[in-house]
Order: sequence, then C-alpha cells, then structure tokens
Amino acid sequence: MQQILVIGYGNPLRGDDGFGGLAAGYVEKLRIPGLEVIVCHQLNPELAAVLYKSSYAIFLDAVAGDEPGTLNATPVARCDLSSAGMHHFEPGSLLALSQAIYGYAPPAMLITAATRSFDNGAEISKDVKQAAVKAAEAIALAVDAGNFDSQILSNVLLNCH
Amino acid sequence: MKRLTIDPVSRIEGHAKISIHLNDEGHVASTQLHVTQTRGFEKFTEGRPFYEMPGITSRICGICPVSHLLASAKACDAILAVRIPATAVKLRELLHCAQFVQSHALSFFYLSSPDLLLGLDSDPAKRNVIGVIEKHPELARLGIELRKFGLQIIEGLAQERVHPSWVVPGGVNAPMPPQLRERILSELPAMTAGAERTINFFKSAITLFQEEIDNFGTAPTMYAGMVDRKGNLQLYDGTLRFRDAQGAIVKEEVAADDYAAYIGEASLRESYLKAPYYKPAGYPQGIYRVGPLGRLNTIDGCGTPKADVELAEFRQRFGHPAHSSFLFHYARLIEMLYALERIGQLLDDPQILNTHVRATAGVNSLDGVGMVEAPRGVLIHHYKVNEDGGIVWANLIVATGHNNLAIGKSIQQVSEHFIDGKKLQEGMLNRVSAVVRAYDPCFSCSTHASGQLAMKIRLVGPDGALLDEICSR
Repeated sequence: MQQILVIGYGNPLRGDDGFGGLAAGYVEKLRIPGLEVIVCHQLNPELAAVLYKSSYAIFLDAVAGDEPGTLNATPVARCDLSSAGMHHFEPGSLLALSQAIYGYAPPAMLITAATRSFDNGAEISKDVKQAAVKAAEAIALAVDAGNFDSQILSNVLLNCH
Repeated sequence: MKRLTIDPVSRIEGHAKISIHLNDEGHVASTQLHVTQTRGFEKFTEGRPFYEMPGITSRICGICPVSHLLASAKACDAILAVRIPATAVKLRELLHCAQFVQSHALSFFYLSSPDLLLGLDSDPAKRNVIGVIEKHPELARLGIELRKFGLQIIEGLAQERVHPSWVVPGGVNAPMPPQLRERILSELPAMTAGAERTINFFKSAITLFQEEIDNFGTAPTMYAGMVDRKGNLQLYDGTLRFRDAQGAIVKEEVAADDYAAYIGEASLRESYLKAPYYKPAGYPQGIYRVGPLGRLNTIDGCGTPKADVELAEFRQRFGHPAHSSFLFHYARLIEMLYALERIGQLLDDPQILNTHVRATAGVNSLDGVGMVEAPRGVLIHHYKVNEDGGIVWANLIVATGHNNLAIGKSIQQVSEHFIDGKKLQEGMLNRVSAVVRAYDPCFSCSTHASGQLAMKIRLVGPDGALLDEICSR
C-alpha cells in the first residue's frame, strides 16, 4: 500500500495560522488507511526522515492575502537547498533535503487557506475553520480516488461542502 | 586602542556579540563577551501560582524546555514536600535523556559540524548545515535521525515536542504507553550504533585540530556537575560536586537547597548574563566550567558500559581533568551515547510502565529548589511562595551562566593566539565564534541565520577612522 503523508503546520497561537494543524487533525480523525498525519509548528529538517518513506506528501499551510477561507492546491517543486534556513524549511526545500540525504523525495502538493488574521490567540476564524473541513474532505476524496492532480484537487476543494 | 566587534556571534542559541580591543601594535589587549538580551522571568512570574511555573519557565528555551520543565517541577515538588512515585522519577529521566540526544545532536551536527567537517577557514557562505548536507550526506543523515529519535521520544511521552506540559508538580500527568516503549526499543540499537559511528568519526578527525585543541580555552578552571551516590554521571538527580583545576574534589554532596552556600552570582557591566562563581574561592577566582566537559571532568565514571569505555579513552588521550574547551564537542558525543544507553536501561526497568505516576499535596513548604543537569550544564530553579502558593521570589541559575567567565577567558585566549589586528581574515574571527560554539551556549531560544555569516567586524583606529571591515549577511 502507498504511504501518504499529510503535514499540517503553523503556529496555533497566532489565530488563523493554526489552519494547517486544524485541517491535519480533521484528516487524522478520518482514520484513512495508509495515511500518516503530522502536525507541527514549522517544517524542520527531521521531517525529511519521514518524507522519503512516503509515496506522496500533502502540506497544509495558512497564507496571507485573498478572500479569507479561500483554498488553493499547487504542486510543490524541489527548490535549491542552499535557499533553506537552518531553523525551518519550506515544502520545496524540505523535498530538496529529502532528495539530498535519502536520494528520494516524493511528489507533493501544498494546500493553502487564505487567512483573516494572524493576531495573537488560539481562536481560528469561521471562514478558515470551514476551509479546514473542506481541505480534509478533499484529501479524503483524493486518497480514495488515488488521484492527486492539482487541477482536480483544486476543483474538489472548490466543490467540497 | 582599536576595537573589533563580532556582532552577532552566529550558530549559537540566542544573541551575543564580542568586542576585541587591540593595542597600537595590533595585538589583542582585552576581550569582552556581551549577552545582549534580557528576559525577566524571575520578575514577571511573581504573583503567579507555583504550579504554573513549569509551564511558564519552560518557555525560556525552545531547545531545552524539558530541562526547565524538570528543574521547575522539582522545585514545585519541594514546595509540595512530597516524594514523587518511583515510576515518575524514571519517566522524567527518560524524557530528559531524550532531550540530551536531540539537543546534543543539534549542537554537534547542525551548529558545530560545519566548522569540523568543512574547515574553520572554509567559505563562510557554505560553512553551514546545508554545506554539510551537500558534502557529507551520510553524516547529516545521522544527525537528523538522532535528533528525530530524541524528539519522537519527547513527543511520545509528553504529547508535544516543544514546551510539553506532561511534567507536573508531584510527577507526570500520564503513564507511558506500552507500545511507545516497544517502538523506542526497536529503534534504539540503530541510534546507539549511529552515536558510536559519530564518536569514531570525531576521534579520527580531531587530529586535524591540534592547534585549536591547544588554544581553545585551555586555561585551567574548576569544574562542576551532578553525580549519583557512586560518583557516576547523573543528569536528572543527584548532588553537586566541584573539582579543582588539578582534579581534586573540593566539595561534594551539595544538595539542591544548599546551592547558595557554594554558588555566588556576580553581575558584569558589559553583559546581561550574570557570572556564577564558586563562592568559597570568591570572585573571579572561583571560575568553573559546567556542561559536557565539566561533567566528564567532575564524575568518576558514566555508569553505562559503552560510555565508560569512551570516557576511559578520552581521559587517556587528554588527561583528567581535560582543560581544552575544544573537547566540549568530544564530551558531548560521549554524553549522547550515555543518554542512549540510559534510555535502554530505563526502558528495561519493569517499573517504567507502572501507572501510579503522580503524588498530590498542597503547599507544605514556602521554599523550593530544583536542580538538574541541562545539556549545557547545571540548571537551578529556586522559588519562594506565600501560604496560598503564589510566587513571591524566584531565582534561576541557567546552565550557560555558569560558563560565562570561562567563555570570556576562552575568547581572550583564542583572540590572542589567532588574531592579527593589522589585517583581519574571516577565519580568525570564525575561530573566536567557534570557541563560543564549543560551549553550545544557550543565550536564549531565538533564531539565527545560516548561509553567509551574520557578522560584522569593524577595525577602527584610535582616531575613530575605519581601517578595515568584514561584513556579510
């Protein structure tokens, strides 16, 4: 069976930045076979040791801009490792690290939700909470269909209720 | 008089800068380490309920929150005046050993290995963990997996990797799941082998650094660390022992609540970091070192088989006590092996899965002190409370502080040996930063840059004219 890795990341104490962790938590509750969920504050190098064992990776993150709650799915390309920071990585640099150290990086998708606020506090806005549910549903459907095409996933994200 | 400034010192936890004063001949006249941040935890925790202290004070650090959590919880145990369940003691030590693995792996592989693997004079733009990954992926993988292993144990036990709330006054708030024990045990042999491979690599590479070994903080000092009743290494419990520069034990069996009789704290004009000293010797003669090298110089033995073999070889090669601060790296690796062996011993103890893991009580003492060995050295939390349990006074002696005077001395020695004030070279100044990194100081848990050195060094003449400058970010 293929191993699909879902990584939700962000600071749960900075409002809507908690989107990644919330959405990943919803995915975990679905108990989908062959799917591993990791929730973390930020992407760090140790994740490469899990990433290389996966057949597909999905990153969940919050972004500024756009209408709050708007979801987007984009394929992640490996980027230049030298652009990586020491304390945290972006999805593309984490894939590059996995490739450099383990000789393999899985294909990956980044699902983002536009936020209303990154202010201090653990409260997530209604729009972003709804986006987290949609994202989890879309991931479940994609896993079920075995299809992670970004266009298809984007359409699913738009049509999830 | 001219002054060089290294600001900030890179690849350390927190912020610091170094001033190097040159005389008119361009030779080093004096040096100063400035820790340029202030935290204030002792003050703003006043009035908080004592049982909140573990959660609050663990926020001091993102690398070693577990150490603050444990020192704080032990101080709270003393306020409760309870003896916590034996299983809770073992679980706390297990958590602590896991933290040593991840913290020492971070220090060695992520922060210091660029100097050791790529060279102290190598291109600063490449002299970072990314450079190590590109040139030595095998070793980088070891570092990542050792750190991941330590973090996974912490997360498995405490539910969170950073700032967990599992350790509480009176014990821990949940027993260990049996499946976690099995998972750790299944991965432990590979991790132990990885730590041994790293030590063997370092032992072969260290011969390339003879000049650094001879000049990186070799001035004799006292040493301090916690030991158990047999005089062996003890990271979670035990009493404090001091050895003098010749290796003689000058004081031992110092209990946590007696620390103030032996440790004084001096304030320095140039730094927000206090400078603890051995009180009977006075300030500044009472300079001592803690942390990996301090501990290995203080103990009689490690108490685990593989680490004891490595300790014997270490002492055979460098004597006892070994004074060069460059050897902090070597000592750190031996301790990582010890922590892995100790994890195995604790997991093999049938008591580890017991479910009675917390004692409860109210305020029974108005004063409590907790002491543990943090990865960087002895960590002491001392609280006084009112009858309702509100904090009325707190004093924290954080591990890096103990080394403050010794780091200053090491900077002076390295600067005198390596710096030619007439023409600066980046490698000279990197050695000054590298001796600070050898101590793995944790000035706070703030971030730092990789890639090009975030460092600016200015050479200014007596008339204030800029003579030379190296600036890169």
